[in-house]
Amino acid sequence: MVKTKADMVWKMGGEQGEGIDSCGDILGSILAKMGYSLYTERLFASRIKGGHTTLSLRIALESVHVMREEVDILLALDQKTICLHGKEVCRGGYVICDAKVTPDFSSLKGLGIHTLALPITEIALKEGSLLMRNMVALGMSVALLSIPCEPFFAGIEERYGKKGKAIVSQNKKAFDAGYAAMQQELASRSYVGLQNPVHEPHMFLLGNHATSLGAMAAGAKFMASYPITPASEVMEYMIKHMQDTGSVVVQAEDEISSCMMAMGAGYGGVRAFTCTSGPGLSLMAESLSMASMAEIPVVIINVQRSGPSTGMATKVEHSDIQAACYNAHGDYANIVYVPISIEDSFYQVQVAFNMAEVFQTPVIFMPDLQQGLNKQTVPKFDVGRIVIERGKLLEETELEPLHQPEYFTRFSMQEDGISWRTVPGMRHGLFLSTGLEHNEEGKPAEDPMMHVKQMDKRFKKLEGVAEYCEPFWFEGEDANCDILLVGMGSTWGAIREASAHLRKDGFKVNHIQLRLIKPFPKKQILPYFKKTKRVVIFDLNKTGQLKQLFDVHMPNKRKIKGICKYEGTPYTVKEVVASVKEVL
Amino acid sequence: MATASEYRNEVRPNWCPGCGHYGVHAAILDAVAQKAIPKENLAIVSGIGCSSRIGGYVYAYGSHTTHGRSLPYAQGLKLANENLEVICCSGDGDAYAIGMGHTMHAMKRNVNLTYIVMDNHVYGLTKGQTSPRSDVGFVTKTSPFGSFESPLPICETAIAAGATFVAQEYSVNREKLANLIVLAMEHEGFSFINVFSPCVTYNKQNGYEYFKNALTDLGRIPEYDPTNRLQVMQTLMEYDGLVTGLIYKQEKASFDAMIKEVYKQKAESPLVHRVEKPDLDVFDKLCQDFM
Repeated sequence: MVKTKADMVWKMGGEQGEGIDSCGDILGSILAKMGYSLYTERLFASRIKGGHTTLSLRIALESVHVMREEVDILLALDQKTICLHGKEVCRGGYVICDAKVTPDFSSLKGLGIHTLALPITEIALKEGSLLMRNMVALGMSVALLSIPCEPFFAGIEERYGKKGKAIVSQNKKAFDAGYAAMQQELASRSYVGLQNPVHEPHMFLLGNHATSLGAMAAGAKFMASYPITPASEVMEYMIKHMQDTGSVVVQAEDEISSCMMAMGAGYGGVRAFTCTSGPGLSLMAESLSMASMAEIPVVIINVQRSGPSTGMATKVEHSDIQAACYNAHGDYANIVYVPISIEDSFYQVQVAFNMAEVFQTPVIFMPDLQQGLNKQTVPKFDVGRIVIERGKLLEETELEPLHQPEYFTRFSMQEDGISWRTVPGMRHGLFLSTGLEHNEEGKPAEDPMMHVKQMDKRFKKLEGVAEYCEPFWFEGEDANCDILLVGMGSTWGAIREASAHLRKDGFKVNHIQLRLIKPFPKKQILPYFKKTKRVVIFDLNKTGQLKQLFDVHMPNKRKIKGICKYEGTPYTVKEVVASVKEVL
Repeated sequence: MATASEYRNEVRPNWCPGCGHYGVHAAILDAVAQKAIPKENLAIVSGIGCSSRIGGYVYAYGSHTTHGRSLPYAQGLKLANENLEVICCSGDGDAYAIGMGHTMHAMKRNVNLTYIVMDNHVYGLTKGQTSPRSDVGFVTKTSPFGSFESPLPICETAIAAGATFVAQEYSVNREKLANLIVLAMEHEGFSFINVFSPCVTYNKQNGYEYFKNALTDLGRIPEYDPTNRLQVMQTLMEYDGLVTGLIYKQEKASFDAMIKEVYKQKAESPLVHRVEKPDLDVFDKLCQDFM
């Protein structure tokens, strides 16, 4: 008899290049089409082939935003996977290993885990070639999850159709043989399958693709970028669809060029952006400072990875917080904005584009590797929710009545610090743009009072930012609470699920997931800060960069406890719960 | 026809009296007047250095950017709005030292804009240091015993890098330079003009007397053919690069044109006029790819 669960974790491990990604990808995309909610996590080394890798798929009926620690099904293509991950499998769960490696399951004895050595390689060789191992494993997984196999035949057809009928048929046979082998094995055993899905199919995509679609929806028509892990997918996707969108994407010679090209286009009146990761962000520092000085709208997407230097290029970390806020020279005004999930990447990147134009200043939009390189199901994007706001950009027709004697006063003093803006090509809109301190027309000015006026103006603009955007996501109660949990970016899912656990245990928990890092939304956070006994801030870095922002901006530092993780992996729910209980 | 003075603004250049850059400035104004470029469609982009102050000295949309990075900025601007006449200006430090990576790639990329480099073989704004174009033996504060690095053969380098329009002039020859700038603006693709523009304060060695004697007008070389790559390279080497006139020209589709051709874009208007949400059907199809 098959029992069913509404929330399961499937994990596959082996050497990089053994087809683990494609196996997980087919499984995930078909499950998504069937209406399941998915969250994936991929651990891999920074190389093309070789090196241990795993892919985890959390499959649930309701949307999930974090990987669960307990694995239900572990597919091991090698002994190392059993040694490293065998104990993650829950009681009643399954570990399936290729019989070819004559697996040693002794370490799992007495844990109530089913262990099976099945002829994955043997079946693959019989049905075609060693390459089919992932299809055999896929068939076995589908049988074990107790879901229908027909949609997978269609999925194989779709994926390998281009490679010819022979390949499609070989893959289907391998899948089928794996499915049959597992069914035979399960005939005499008890196992847990998946419950039937409950909602309409969602999109299943990488955060980097969600960000790209968000940029397109926001009307961004120019991008310049330089390849870097884990950000390249954005440029690749934008280039792939240049024909559909009528945009221009340039693969530049380096990140300095990328940023300056985007700034040139932004000054020119197009919505323009670049996309990079840590090392590239460092190279953009000087340009960033100029964009602030010359009040040029530009969006810099920085998909965070582990540093410093080349660091761990395929691992997640939030160690660019200070770099994004302070890495350029001089007192410069910029905005740093962080999406909390893959879905958020789509909707918030358009807020980033709006802010760049409304506040006429560079915006650093900062997802992370966990979001960028992992797929998740999200409800289909609604372009109707996107609103393009260009702020104080004038139309050419509005300029003639304002006609000013020589130059347009592009940097005029306004109450909110935001001047009226023109772009090249507009008659009566001519102005000078420079990284030098300048007067209202943009002419170089060394007058001390003009420097003070212009400097104050550039920072005055930032005062409106927190009110304009959604500075953080909040869940909890208005009344006093025991503890306020604070995170940024992709730690949202873990903290959110942990909060639910803690509430079940009777704690009053508030949760703030920050999006706006600079300017720091002190005024908006303060009421929640005052109403809690303790604050715990979750940093994914060594030095507590997020906590340091609170130390600088918030009162009563003794209330704050910082937790730092810097192993290159995301927080788990258990880790969050455990560290909170330590504080309470 | 427009007059050069219409493109002059009220900002007084901070160049030294006698600086070669005055001649380059005048030639640029003559050329844009000759082409009657509407002022609102003229964009002057520059980097950092004495010569790069020029972005503020023309009545147009002027951009004075960062050191060595004017070309990326200018390319972004041109691709944003193809209706603009983009002229990018640098000095030899800006273009051939800190910005050399961008210079080579801009030549290779071939975006349709004009690049004018005022080459005085020395750093002026920082008060006299050696440049990538300084002669061997040139004494500066950073080469007190004379420079011993080879000066960069910039015209040969440009052609090798894939530049499709390479010219060279002397700032004194205002009319010839203006004519070359007109040709450069008319050329489809990236047009590069290196201008010998003497620094009267920090480079006494390569002053007006020196250039007067050192330069050869390509018009005086019989049967010189700027489309014959081999002859062009040979001539440059023979004269140690000290020639003036149109050096090299190759017909090739610009980057801008290639984008439209390769990606089958119907170029109804420049990007700047298309900041809008994508076509809903197109966007829906993109979303469906993930479902």
